[in-house]
Amino acid sequence: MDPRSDLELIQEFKNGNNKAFNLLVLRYQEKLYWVVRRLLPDHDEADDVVQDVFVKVYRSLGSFKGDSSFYTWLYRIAVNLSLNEIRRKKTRRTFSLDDGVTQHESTDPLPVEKLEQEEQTRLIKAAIEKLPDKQKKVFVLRYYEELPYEEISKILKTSVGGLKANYFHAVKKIGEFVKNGM
Amino acid sequence: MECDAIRSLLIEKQEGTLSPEDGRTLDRHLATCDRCKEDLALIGISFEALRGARDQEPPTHYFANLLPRIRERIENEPKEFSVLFLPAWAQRILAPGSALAVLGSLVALYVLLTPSFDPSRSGLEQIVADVPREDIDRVTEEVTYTGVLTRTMEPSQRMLETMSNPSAVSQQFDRELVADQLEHGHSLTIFLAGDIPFEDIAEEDVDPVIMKLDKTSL
Repeated sequence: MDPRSDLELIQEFKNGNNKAFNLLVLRYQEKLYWVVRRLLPDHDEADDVVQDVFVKVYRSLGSFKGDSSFYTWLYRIAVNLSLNEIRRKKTRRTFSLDDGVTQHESTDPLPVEKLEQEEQTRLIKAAIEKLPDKQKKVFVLRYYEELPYEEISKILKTSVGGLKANYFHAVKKIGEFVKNGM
Repeated sequence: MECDAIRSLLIEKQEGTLSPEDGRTLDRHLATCDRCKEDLALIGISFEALRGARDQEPPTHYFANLLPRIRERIENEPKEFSVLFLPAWAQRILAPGSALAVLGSLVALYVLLTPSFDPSRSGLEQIVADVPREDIDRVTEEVTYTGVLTRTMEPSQRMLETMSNPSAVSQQFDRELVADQLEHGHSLTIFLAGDIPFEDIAEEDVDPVIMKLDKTSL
């Protein structure tokens, strides 16, 4: 792990050291992938958006002022580009039983627990997919990224009160979806 | 305590982060409120299911190959001229002048290309002015407002914009989605609403709010 801070790396990039950008990508690629991956239905779409985010960052890093932290800025770009992608592909997706879970080449029957886990995963994925955009992004940042509301507030530029209401409705809707098994 | 204020405590209870004092407040409320009891049960179901689900891992070596693929895209996309290619001393000289020139050009372009531009009007009024009049079903307005609520004719595409600062409306209003809706033949209703705490309105409450606006704001 490189000991230099994000801001130090950004400054180096601004001074012409292109490798500083590589270090920022390596530092955040995994976290960023999972944020995007949970907002989008499949890996290929997430992969496209993650690349778009970093290309955009590369093009804009020279003008990054540091008003917010780098990762706040990065998350904001990632969330916005993910939602743009969702809107662009307006056709609603339906989930088949094997969508979103690992394909098994073996024909041996799966252990019951594993089947239950896969069904659970399918349900959760479908439930998150059905959330309104605002609730979806708040849910992903809060539940999966475990970010404090104050941090999410900076990323999404929404009040903490509004975020809490969105998170409550998102969690409740997921519960309803799972309860009804659909 | 009102149910609205209890919501975040329900979440905290299921997360296990509830303070003893809030826990007592919540227990007192739950003893008399079936609706919040049901909500608590649903939140419990949700968290349990979330804990039981697992992530689908990306392909092997995905992260090892990501950086080279990003670099390849950066190298292959057409390069734009950037002051970053200039030495630092040149950037320092050029930066303030360039910024002023760009700002001046933008202001001039905006004034020239926006015949309806009127700096005395609010951000909300500017937005309404930007949408072709024949595309707007109706506009409901009050002098003071805390948010803007828009709805197209397609119920599933309705939108709820939450904003407490009217001056930020023009930045947050989802012009792209509105334009897309209009392109698909939907008419648009814009409600400029007074004294309604939009931040606490859930999507499922949109219709009752619209009914309320219809009755009270005209």
